[in-house]
Amino acid sequence: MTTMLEIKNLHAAVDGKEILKGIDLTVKAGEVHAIMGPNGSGKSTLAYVLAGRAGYEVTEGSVSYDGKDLLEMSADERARDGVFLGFQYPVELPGVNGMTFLRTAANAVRKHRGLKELDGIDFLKLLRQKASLLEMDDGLLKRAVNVGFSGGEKKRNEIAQMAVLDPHLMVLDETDSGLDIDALKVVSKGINALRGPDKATVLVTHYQRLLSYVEPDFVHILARGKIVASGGKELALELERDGYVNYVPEAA
Amino acid sequence: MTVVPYAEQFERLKPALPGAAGLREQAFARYAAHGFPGMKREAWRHTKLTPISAAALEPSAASDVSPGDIAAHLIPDALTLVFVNGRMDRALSNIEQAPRGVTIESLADVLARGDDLSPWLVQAAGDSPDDALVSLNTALMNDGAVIRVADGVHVEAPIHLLFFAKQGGMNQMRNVIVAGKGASVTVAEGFFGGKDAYWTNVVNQFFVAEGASIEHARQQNEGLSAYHIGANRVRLAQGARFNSVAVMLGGAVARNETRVLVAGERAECHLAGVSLGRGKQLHDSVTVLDHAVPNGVSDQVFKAVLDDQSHAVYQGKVIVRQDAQKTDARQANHNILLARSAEASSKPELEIFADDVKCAHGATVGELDKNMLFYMQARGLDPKTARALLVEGFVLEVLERIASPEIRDMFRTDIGGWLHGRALS
Repeated sequence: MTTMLEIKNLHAAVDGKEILKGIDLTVKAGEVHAIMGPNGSGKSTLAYVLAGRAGYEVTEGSVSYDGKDLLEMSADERARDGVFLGFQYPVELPGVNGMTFLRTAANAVRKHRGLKELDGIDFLKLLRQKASLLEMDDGLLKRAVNVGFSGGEKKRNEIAQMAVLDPHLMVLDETDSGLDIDALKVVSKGINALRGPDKATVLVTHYQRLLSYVEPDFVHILARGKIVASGGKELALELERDGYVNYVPEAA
Repeated sequence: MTVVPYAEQFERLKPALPGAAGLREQAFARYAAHGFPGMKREAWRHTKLTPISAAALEPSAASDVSPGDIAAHLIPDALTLVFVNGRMDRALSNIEQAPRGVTIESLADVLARGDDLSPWLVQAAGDSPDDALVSLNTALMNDGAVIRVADGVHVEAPIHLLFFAKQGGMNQMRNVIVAGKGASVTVAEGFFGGKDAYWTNVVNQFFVAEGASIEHARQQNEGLSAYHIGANRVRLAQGARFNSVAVMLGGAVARNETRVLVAGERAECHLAGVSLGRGKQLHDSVTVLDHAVPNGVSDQVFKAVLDDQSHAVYQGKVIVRQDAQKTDARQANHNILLARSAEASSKPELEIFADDVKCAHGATVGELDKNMLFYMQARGLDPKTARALLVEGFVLEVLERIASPEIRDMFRTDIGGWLHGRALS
């Protein structure tokens, strides 16, 4: 299998404070990796660095994506090239219609891939098809993006966007947080539907709960800016039972 | 002895102005007592008028406008009155199809045939120096629309007043809109102009009778050298409703002042405005909401998006008189600065004399939200597209208050064109 993401000795700082202190991680096409860790371990920072958020300064190390230097690309170039960040707190865009937003995004991605841009009607067809795949109605997209949505609706909207944009590398930051069990099932179903041999997923999560529905191939424990343990899905079960105490003594 | 500006023009022009000679004399005297409002007047302190007070402008000469010139500005299925350089153009207007119970006429026609509109017209201006240009308008008014909707009549088609300024000079326009008891009507205005420096001085008077409703939409897209001074006077009777959305794009100096008298109980007034500024434009939005009686509701939302060295002003005064218990009055003013050199001034003002009222106001000035921009970039939108969508969204929230989808779409197109012309990167 081809290597999709290769992170080497990644150090990153926010406001001059080093948060990531040497991360090594290789993700191959077709794999699902879970990154787990206590609060403040650097999980979200890693997700933001991969997505290219301003203010997250890489001080050392490298990240290659599909053989390209990811860190050289702007946030929007990364997204068009197939990197998708599912936000822990999806942002409200007042007055920006969901349909318009997603069609603009989809066409930016399609243009980058050399595909024909979709007009309103063709886009609606694509949307209906994806929505039925995810068993979601498209009503949310008729409103302003995320404005007045419940926590669950925001996360479902993230998955709907992901389905339409059809990314290669999905980085999902605490997608399970704030979801009740029904919403968690819907969201997990969406994530599973988008798995494929040419795609890879990085799930950033605090709890094991999501991993019962989206089964990872590898689990990594991130503590104080470093990956301190890696293993299979049994590692997540161990964490569920014992907590992070064996990896981060003060978490006891 | 100093002579007030436009005294010579008034003396010379008045024999040829349509009707209302006595009213014009009185109004000119009121104006002459104060002259042009200077920047020392609080309500005018951002609006520099010396270029038009000193210019001694003449009424604009006639010029030709073809149906092709106006086609892009028409609202489908509207009853349209077209004014070119301050005069109604009959060939371009279509008001013959006005439904029963509605009369739509040229103000010049109405005044020339000797109809006495003065009971309406005198209500526009008081003795305050702030009203001087409204009085000057009464003295010099040349044409405009007189729209009367009979009791209980619901006018389906919007009535569209289109003003084109193709020459330098001045256009003194006066529109009178009267909605009878329980009537409803939509009135849209559009102002467009050429490159010449000219002055549009327009006064609208809206009389909304018991239980009546007026939807008002205003599109100010004058030429970039123009001075636009717009004054709206609204009187709301019991249970009446007025909903207004004004978009300002054009003009070198443009002012839209709306003064509402909530004269009847349980009346409702919604005022909204969007200003899009560039270059060195000044856009001044001024409101005075006078709640004189109990149980009135008013809300105001004014937004501005400002580029270059443009400046937008919102001055909103709410007066709640002693009798006006249970008034619910809200004001909001939000500004986005696209350039550091742009400026927004926000001045909400409350004068409350009643004790059981709800009054709220809020104002913000800022740049585009960085979280929002990152979120959009993370979905593949380049920064320029992301900014344009955010600005459009910011503005569309206001346009959603326009009830007519046709008018909303037309305004949206105008705004889209503005955004497209901006370097939002």
